[in-house]
Amino acid sequence: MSNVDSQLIEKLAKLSRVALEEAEVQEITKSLSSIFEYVEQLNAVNIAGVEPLRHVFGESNCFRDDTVDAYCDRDKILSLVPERSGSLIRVPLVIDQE
Amino acid sequence: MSEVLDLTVAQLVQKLITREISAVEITESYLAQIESQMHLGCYLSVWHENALKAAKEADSAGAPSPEFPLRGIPLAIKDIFTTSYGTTTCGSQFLHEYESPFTATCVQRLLDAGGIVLGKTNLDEFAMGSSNENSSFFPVKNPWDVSRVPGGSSGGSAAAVAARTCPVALGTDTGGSIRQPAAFCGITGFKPTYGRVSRYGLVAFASSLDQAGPLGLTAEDCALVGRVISGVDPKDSTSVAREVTRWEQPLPESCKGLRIGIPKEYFLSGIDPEISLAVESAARVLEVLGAERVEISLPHTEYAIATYYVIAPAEASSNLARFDGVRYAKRAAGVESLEELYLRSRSEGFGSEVKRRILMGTYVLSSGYYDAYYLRAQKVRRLIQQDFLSAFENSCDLILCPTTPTVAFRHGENSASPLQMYLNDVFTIPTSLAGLPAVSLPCGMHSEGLPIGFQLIGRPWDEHRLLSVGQEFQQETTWHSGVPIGILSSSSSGESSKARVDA
Repeated sequence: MSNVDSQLIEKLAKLSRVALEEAEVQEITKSLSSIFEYVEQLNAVNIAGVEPLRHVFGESNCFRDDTVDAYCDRDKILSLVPERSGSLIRVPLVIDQE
Repeated sequence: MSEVLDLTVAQLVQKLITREISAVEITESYLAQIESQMHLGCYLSVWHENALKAAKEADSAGAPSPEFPLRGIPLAIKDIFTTSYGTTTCGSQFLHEYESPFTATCVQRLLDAGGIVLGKTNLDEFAMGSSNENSSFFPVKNPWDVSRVPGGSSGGSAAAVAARTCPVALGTDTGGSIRQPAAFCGITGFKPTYGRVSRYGLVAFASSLDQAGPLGLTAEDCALVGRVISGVDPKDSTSVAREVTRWEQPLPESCKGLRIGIPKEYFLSGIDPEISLAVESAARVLEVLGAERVEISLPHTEYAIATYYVIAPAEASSNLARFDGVRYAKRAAGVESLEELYLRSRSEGFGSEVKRRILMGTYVLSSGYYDAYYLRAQKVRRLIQQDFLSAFENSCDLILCPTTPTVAFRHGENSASPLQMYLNDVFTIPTSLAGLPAVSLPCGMHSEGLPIGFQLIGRPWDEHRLLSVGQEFQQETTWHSGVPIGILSSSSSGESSKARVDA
């Protein structure tokens, strides 16, 4: 049986930095409960000795030469920042003043 | 100019070469058709002014050529691809006015080939969905029956092609999001092998599964557009350096001696019997063309949906962490702490399916659950892939099966239970997990007046053979020529534009 309850949903919401209304918590608890009950069937599969499939064709680290690539659209990127001070991004205070 | 609207890309290219028609005339026809089909909700933005400008430039530059195979050809782009012109919303309130500083590689390749972008198509938010009901803007309607969904998540692209508002469109497929809407809308949809097409600029949902691909009226058109966008890209380290041949030039007699695997697990209960019959007829056509049918078994099929709905949300939760309200797009107003900035921006920006999948992903990746869910699912994924690779090694060259268990369902029909919606992807998910190329082709009409599609799945990197068989099938059948009633009549819908227009 899946152990999805509203306490877990609230914890996951906090971890994911997503705020949920009470009604959303209830709805998500219900839907995730049934989804993870469905997912439990994976426990029936014999996975002894099976390696996890991370990349479908086994590709791994792909390297390039460590050379600098010129990037010329800095202003365009900065123009997307919601609040800024020059080239610095302005956000609410992170560290206590004292 | 409704006679233009039912032409394929290949036919339009010919008419441009013989100067029977100009790029401007073609583009104007499609823009007018977009206007008259506005009620379907296919487009989130229309690049009216930009498209006409590009069409004029195409006419000055000359006819399509081997170097510019799509010169003068209009296309629509799923709004999950970044474009430096216009907006890129991913169907989400989080990005509803976002203007990307760069263009996705596969879109750039289409532009470099001379293609003309008509606009960005509607989709399920962040490509999460199977009905295009999860768009945060408005849903898309199936041109065959507006009370039905077009499928998803590339529902806008599929409906746009079926409604003849463009001859071809770009979509993405993570668990079936090109193939399923193609089947529901009576058109052809092609997903290349994972790694064929660069994902640079394809806003990531599940990085080990996402692939870009075309939706069009024919396998020939999908083959052409598919190979134009394919090829290694240094900006995407998961793209693979493999030769891309001219897929739109079919291999001769591709069906002769071809062994077609029919997976017995795909024909168990739960499929609409008319779909089974139509898929069976498609197999017969290929037999008449010289293929030989072989029954195969893909024993881990029943675990595919569960595997996908652990892995895909896990990757999504990680990929969507970048949407934090700090550097771009949505930032909630009036927040007092950084934590509140994250919480409120994300909660206000994301729809309910997106939130659900983020939480699912966070759960399966969290400490204490990672081994039980995520790691286990990755191992089952290997077994699912091995089923396919063994079948290809020992028994068959291509696999044939239905694309969907039902035809297009009604709006709201599957909204009660997310799990019920997920079960729609039963025939498309396994291929995605295995990274294989696949194409959905129209093969019949249901008695309810809705199209039926079947799927051909190929070996890794075997797109040329896959699309050759598709083209040969379409030379012998006419299902792909079907047009929804009323689509080519000249009357306007009278509905005002819901899409953002640039002129």
